[in-house]
Amino acid sequence: MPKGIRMRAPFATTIRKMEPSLATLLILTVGAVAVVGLLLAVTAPTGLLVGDTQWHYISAFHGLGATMFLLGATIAVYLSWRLFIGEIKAFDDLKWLTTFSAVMAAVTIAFGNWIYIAYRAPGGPRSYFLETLPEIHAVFFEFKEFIALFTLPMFIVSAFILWRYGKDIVRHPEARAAASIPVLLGWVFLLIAYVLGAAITKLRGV
Amino acid sequence: MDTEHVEEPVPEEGTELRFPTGVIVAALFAAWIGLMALAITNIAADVNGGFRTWITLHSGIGPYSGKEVFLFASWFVSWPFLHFTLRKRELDLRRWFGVFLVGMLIATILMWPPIFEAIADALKG
Repeated sequence: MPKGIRMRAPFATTIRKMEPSLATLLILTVGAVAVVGLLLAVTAPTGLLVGDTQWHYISAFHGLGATMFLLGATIAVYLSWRLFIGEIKAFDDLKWLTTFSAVMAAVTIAFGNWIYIAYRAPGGPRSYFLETLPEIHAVFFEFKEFIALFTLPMFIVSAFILWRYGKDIVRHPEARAAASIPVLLGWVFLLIAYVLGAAITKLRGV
Repeated sequence: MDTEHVEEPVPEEGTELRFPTGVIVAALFAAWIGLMALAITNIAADVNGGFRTWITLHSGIGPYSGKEVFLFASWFVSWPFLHFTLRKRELDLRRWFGVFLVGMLIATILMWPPIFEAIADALKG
């Protein structure tokens, strides 16, 4: 039976249910990594890695967003497989990961639109490719810019079905397929866009 | 990752549950309609220069801006319409999900530049 959407932070619940010693160990480890990471970020010349123009930063956020999206979506694909075969236990994790992936798809597309301005600007990568390697723009970049948009509907559809029906869909084989296969499709579209984006950036960045 | 740490147990297998599936079909097909709108707008922009100019809503992004608007407008207009039309109907989800997958294949192929450019060239004559 369809039921209302119930929001619950999955990680807080998980930590609360852990043994106290394990929860402390986890929190201490995450804290230590965060402190060391912050120290390195503050003291290292990180700006040299990113670049010194506004477009370099937007490009970096686009790439980082896509990487976070890929990480979340990859785990979601595994859990979707468990759902597809009707053997999922971490159902809430799948709900949150598809939602996270949908949000990251929107964020990555937004930054992609922004960086596209620099790509198309006179003297930008588009001009360079059209003069030297026109197929790179005409085939690979054009396909990448469109296929990246396919990721958002796939993750939103899946997240919508998972939130609307909840665990009830585990007992409905066709609904399981309808919720899980779009995650796989979205992941494949993402992977295509990610690989093409990385390859094109390697040839000529903004 | 797939470990038992959820509060509520997942329903037991064995007894299949039935519920109106029109809502699922509506969500799937609204997404597909949006993607087909993107594919058709893209071909139309290749065929007609005037249309390409018309959908250039942002000079920096070019006609891509209008193509995105067509995608999102078609998706978000068709979704509530399909949702309220189909929400109480139990449709053959196996069949309609198969149609959706074939539709997704068509939408993906239509986005491959050698294909959409060939279609645009054929339409231009």
